[in-house]
Amino acid sequence: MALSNVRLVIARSMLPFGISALSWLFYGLLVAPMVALAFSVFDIDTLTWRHLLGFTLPEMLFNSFVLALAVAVGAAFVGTLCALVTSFCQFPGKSVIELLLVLPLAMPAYITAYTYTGIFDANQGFAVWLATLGMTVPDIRNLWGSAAVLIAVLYPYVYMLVRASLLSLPHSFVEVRQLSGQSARLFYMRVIFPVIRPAVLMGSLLVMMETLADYGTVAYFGVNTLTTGVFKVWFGMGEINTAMQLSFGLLVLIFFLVYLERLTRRAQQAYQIQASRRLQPRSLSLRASGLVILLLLLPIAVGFLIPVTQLSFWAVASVDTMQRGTDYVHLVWNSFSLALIASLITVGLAFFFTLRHRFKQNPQQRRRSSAGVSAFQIQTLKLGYALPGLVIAVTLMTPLGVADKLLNQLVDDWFDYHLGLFFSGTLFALLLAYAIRFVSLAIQYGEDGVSRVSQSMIEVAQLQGLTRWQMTKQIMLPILRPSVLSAMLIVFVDVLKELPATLVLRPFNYNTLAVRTFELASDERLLEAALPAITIVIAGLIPVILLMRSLAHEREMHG
Amino acid sequence: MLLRKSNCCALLALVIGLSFLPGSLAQTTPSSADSVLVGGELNLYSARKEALIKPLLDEFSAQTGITVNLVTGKADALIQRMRAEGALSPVDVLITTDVGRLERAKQAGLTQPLATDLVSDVLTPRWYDEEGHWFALSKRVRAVMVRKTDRDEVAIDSIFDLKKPEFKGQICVRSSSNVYNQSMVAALLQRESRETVFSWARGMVENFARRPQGGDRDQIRGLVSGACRVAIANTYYLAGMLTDSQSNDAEIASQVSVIWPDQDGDGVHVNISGMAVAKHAKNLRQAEALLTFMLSEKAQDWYATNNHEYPVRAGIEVSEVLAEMGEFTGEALDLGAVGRANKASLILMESAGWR
Repeated sequence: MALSNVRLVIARSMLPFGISALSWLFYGLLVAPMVALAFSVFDIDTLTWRHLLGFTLPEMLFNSFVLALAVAVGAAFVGTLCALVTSFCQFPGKSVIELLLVLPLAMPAYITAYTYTGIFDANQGFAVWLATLGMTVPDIRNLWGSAAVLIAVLYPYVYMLVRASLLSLPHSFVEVRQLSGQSARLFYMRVIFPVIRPAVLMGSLLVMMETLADYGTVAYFGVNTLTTGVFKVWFGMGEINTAMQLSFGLLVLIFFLVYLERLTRRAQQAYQIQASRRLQPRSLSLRASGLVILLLLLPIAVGFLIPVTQLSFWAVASVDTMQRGTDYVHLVWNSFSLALIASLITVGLAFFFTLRHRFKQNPQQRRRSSAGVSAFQIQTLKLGYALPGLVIAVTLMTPLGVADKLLNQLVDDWFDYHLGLFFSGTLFALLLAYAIRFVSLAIQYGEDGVSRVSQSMIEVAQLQGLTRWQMTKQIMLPILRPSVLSAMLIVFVDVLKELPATLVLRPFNYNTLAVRTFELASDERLLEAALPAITIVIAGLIPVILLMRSLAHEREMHG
Repeated sequence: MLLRKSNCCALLALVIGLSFLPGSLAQTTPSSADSVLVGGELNLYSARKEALIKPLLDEFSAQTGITVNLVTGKADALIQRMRAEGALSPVDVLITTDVGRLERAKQAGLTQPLATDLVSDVLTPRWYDEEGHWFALSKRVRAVMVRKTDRDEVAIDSIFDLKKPEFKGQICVRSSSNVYNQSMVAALLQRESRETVFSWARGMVENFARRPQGGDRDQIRGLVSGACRVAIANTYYLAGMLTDSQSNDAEIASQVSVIWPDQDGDGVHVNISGMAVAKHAKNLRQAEALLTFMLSEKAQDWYATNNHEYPVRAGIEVSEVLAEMGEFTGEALDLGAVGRANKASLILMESAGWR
């Protein structure tokens, strides 16, 4: 009896070390590419760099900088405007419009790019029609065209974050304004904008990272950015190290941006106001409603309705040449199951880290510095989003190959058995790549959810003698459930759309919808690519709709 | 309720279990009576897209009873993968769409020589590596194209004519990041001095009608839409457009005429798609069977008629569409050297401002 007690006590005291070790293991796996990039700095090929500096790097830097800025500003503007309008106004059809506003998330950016290229093609219907009016179709294959496409696809990130922060706005704010007769401008500037500023900045940061990591759109439109430069140096010149050094530069830039965003957030404390009544949107007149609907339909049309309609036409036109039906079933099954497992793993990891950090933030914690360590872990993990999928894939290959060699040696020595590749060329590599790339998204939701657990809740639980595990299960998880669900849905959609890492790391005979779409589209078989493309979009719609439903449900619970 | 723990765990286990099933969804291979059944497996990394290579591979499996396990991707990604996998790499054969990448694989020590009499019987030495590390499977030609209505007005005898000021603002060509352009310029570097090629590239850049964008088909469309007067593209794409029944590509392509440059000189640029046997290949018999099949009359004929590429085997007729483009003289260069000059050609193009 006493012995089992002792064992329990020892186990309990060992647990923090066990968890800590586990966290470092996961952390190590997830930052492996960034470490590999950092180490690549030590072997500089001066010849290649001289060429880069002399001819292509200035242009790449300029384009990347301008593109990221333009897309961030554009997406922030569109997303914030839509969020403000839907939060403050009530009009017929609002629930439908709210759902539609998020749908561009289901569109992979490169698909939107290809589609608009087809629509604006000088030989196609739209251009021909414009010609009858004496106008020429605009050339979208440049920096501004890329920016427009990326804004149309990425604004939902900002929209969702700002909307969520406005949802928690207490109605008393509006009432105070009405009572004091404050002008609209002052109201927005002094009250609303400070409240939504963190959401706008975080959304803009996400959008910038996504833009910097984009390859498909800018490559197709002929815009030379840092990312296309990385690929050119890697593919064209075969200079892997220089390509990695360029990627490291990109990473440093992102680190700087993340640090800036952190600074602005630190200046503001996040108040979780438990208000009695949430923001009540104001009903609009019929004319105003009409205008508002038209306004909101604009981003929806550009980001979703127009491309999807065009893709549907193409898909129907190509249905005769659609090859094997069973092939499509395999593609869909692979895509879905992969996305599901990836989202489970990624979200699991993200919430592991954020929960652990939350516990460490307890002011009663003996070792205060450990909170700093877990904060550092989380901040560096977020950087993974800035790495293009291809870079992650390439930087993972070598360490995984080494791990395989070691494992094989071990198994061979101990069991006299030839194992073959275990880490590389299997789903392990792919799932790890997805985790690295998307854990940042899940962490955002994790941090958001975990911040809702107030300190007093934890203290009360501790007073009741609950262990951390019990606390997690009984208190945290129920509060976190909407965040977990949202994180899973968004990672699911992103993995479904993911292309470069999937292309490089996938095992034999394993294809996804994204791979198939890319191969057909890059071979300029746009018509045949439309069918798998639209399948991705439809498959992505389900989680997006579920996500919106869960957000609406949450609003009802708090409203 | 749906999220109950037991349900989640069961679902998760099911999905994970099913996904880790042996990756090779084995293709049913009906054995035909008159085939030489080799059996076994072949692991293939292909830079040729699946839609293009699958029909041939299915036929190969049917004939030989060999199960083919396929991963497609960009050639450089596949090469990097082979490097990382090292001695444990399961791949047997690498197929690429350009000679530069074959050479790169060879230089990286990722290939092994395959000794076979078949090759010397069927191919001229130009079309395979002298040490037997790679073999051409089909030829791809990069020609100059203009609108049919401009044919008589435009005077292009050599590709080097394109740098002349008379073509200012008239040339459409894709980005220098594309392997076909890199090989084309690499071939030019074998023919002329670096200075000559550089001044040609500079002249080209000044004659660009627009910034390089899109693929080869986009250059052809640019011709017809009036964006440019002269385009450089692979004949393979033009032929594909001509036989495309779904879009209006056929109508567009029918307005285009092909010019073969340098017919009195070194000939038009010819690139290859080819295969190499991996250094740590385990299934050598199957790899050799693939090479035999790819060089067989049936497969070469398929390349010619269905894919509109030029066969490497002598005596195979090209498709009607290609035949209509006319006969031509192709380059007679050492493909290996062309392959090795790939990096230098990209640096040259970028220095000249060709993005």
